[in-house]
Amino acid sequence: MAGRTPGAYSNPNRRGRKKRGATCHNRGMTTVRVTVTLKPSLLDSAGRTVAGSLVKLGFDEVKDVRIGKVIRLQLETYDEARVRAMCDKLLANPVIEDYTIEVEP
Amino acid sequence: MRVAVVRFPGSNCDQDALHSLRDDLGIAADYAWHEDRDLAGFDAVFLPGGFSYGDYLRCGAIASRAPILDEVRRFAREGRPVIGVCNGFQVLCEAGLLPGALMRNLSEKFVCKTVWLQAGNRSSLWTRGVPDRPIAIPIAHGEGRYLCDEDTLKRLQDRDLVAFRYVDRDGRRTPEANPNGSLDDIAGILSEGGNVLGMMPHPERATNELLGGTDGRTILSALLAVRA
Repeated sequence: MAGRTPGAYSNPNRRGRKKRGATCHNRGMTTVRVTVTLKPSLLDSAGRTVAGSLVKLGFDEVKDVRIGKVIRLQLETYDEARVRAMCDKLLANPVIEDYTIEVEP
Repeated sequence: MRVAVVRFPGSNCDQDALHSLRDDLGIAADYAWHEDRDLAGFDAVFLPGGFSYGDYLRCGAIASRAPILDEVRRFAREGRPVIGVCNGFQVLCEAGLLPGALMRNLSEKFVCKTVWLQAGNRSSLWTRGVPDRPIAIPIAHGEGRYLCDEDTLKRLQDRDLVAFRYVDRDGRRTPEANPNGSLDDIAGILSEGGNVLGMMPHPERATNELLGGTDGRTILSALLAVRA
């Protein structure tokens, strides 16, 4: 990752500026939770296997399981546009995945 | 003609690739490191299989952002031969050099066996030496289910950019012959210019009779015909 288009994502908030927004309990850090999920139209083969296993365990109310991943970021400064850029550039693959961004309280 | 075999942390088919190119095909080849920024002196790129960066985040995701990828992009743009095998195919898709993505095998199992492939294109830089019969090439992957949206699939089909499809020994496309659930039985695809090939099967593991077959030569020997 190092060295890719240096400067293109340089942080405008870094110098001489107070953190923006609320939610900075953790020593001035903002915790952001990025949830990455497979697009709804795609077959989640791992989720299907887990659903089958739950049903075998007697949880026959389970009709579908989809597995995603949660990525928690500790940020010195929070700028939603920059977190979106992180998702678009690395954290999620737009061909197969969707993502949501939430600031943790 | 000199080929750069790019090593990422976690590559594990790099030695196979180098050996196959050098010793079985007589093509000059050397390793390049993922942090290199200059592929001067090389004429083609081979992205080998393995588990680059431990497959963290997504297969090939971190590798596709490595410094060397700027050079790989340049090679692709300039029409030079670029091949990505297995993890290398995943890297090419993650880098956006080939469309689509590779997902977990439908069976949820790692599959390691020899499969039969039928060329869907026999005129590109990479496929013009491939015969019009099924060829036997080994696979070894857990995430090889090729997927793309409908428009992309139509474009791949209309422009003959599907390099290889999984078939049975007699060349028939059957559900059993598709080892991972790939869309349209796709095993490999080409870029618009035909100079970038990504495929899950390993041609470098099929270039020596001692290892069970030489059908991989029909693909990799394309490099012999390319002027440096």
